Amino acid sequence: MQSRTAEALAASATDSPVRRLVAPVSALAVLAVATAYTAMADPYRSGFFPPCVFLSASGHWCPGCGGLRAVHELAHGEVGAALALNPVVVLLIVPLGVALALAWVRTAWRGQPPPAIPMWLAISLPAVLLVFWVVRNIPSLEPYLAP
Amino acid sequence: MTDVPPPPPPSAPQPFPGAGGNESKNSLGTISLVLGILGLVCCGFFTAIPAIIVGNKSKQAQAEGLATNGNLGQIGFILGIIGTVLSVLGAVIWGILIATGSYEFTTTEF
Repeated sequence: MQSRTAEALAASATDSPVRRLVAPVSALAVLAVATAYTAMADPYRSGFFPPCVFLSASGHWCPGCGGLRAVHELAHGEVGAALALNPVVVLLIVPLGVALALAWVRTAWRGQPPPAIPMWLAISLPAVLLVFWVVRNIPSLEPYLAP
Repeated sequence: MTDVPPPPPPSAPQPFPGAGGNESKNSLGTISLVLGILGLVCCGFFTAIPAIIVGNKSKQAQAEGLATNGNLGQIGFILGIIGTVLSVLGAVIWGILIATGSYEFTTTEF
C-alpha cells in the first residue's frame, strides 16, 4: 500500500493542478472542520471530547492537555486565555501545522515535491515537547504552564 | 541546435530505474514525524502506531536508496514508540480505574 502511495506521489508531478491539490486541500479541509467543531462545541464540558488518557491514568498533564480549550479560545479571539491554557500548542503546534499544510498546498499547486521538514526542527520540536511535558508538571510552575 | 541529450544527474543511485529519483519516498519521513508528534500531543496510539509503521517504511526507503531523510523517519519511529507505550499503558490503567469504579466522568480533562 505504501509503495503504491509513493508511486502515486511520484506520478502526481505530471498530473493536472486540480489532481495534485486533492490531498493537501483535503488536509486543510479536515483541519478547518475540526477547528470549527472545536470552536462551536464547548471543550470545558465533558461529553463532546474524550478525556486525555495520560492525565486520567497518571494524574499528570500531557504536553497537549489544554490544547483543545486553547484552540476553542483562539477561535473566539481570546489569545491570552489560549496562551494560559497551553502555550506550546498555541505558539508552536498550531502555527507549524497551518504552515505545513499551506506549504503543501503551494508546492502541489506548482507541481513541486511536497515540503520537507528540516532536521533541526525534527529534533528540536520533540525535545521542546518532552521538556514542556516535564516542566508543566513541576508543582511550582504549574500555575503558569498547566491548563 | 544539437540533439545531445543532457547528462544524467551524478551520484543518484537508482536501484529501480524509473522509480522517480532518490527522493521519491521522502514524504514517508515527513508523514511519520507529523504522526509521531500528534501521537504525543493529542491522539495517542491512534497516530503513534501509524508513525511507527510509516517511520519503518521511511528507513527501508532510505536503505533502498529511494529516500534521503531516513533520519526523519527514525525520529517519527521513536516518537511513535513513546506515544504508543504511554497511551496503551494509560488506557490499561484507565480501564482498570473505570472497572473498579474509582474513576468517573465528571470533569473535563482534555
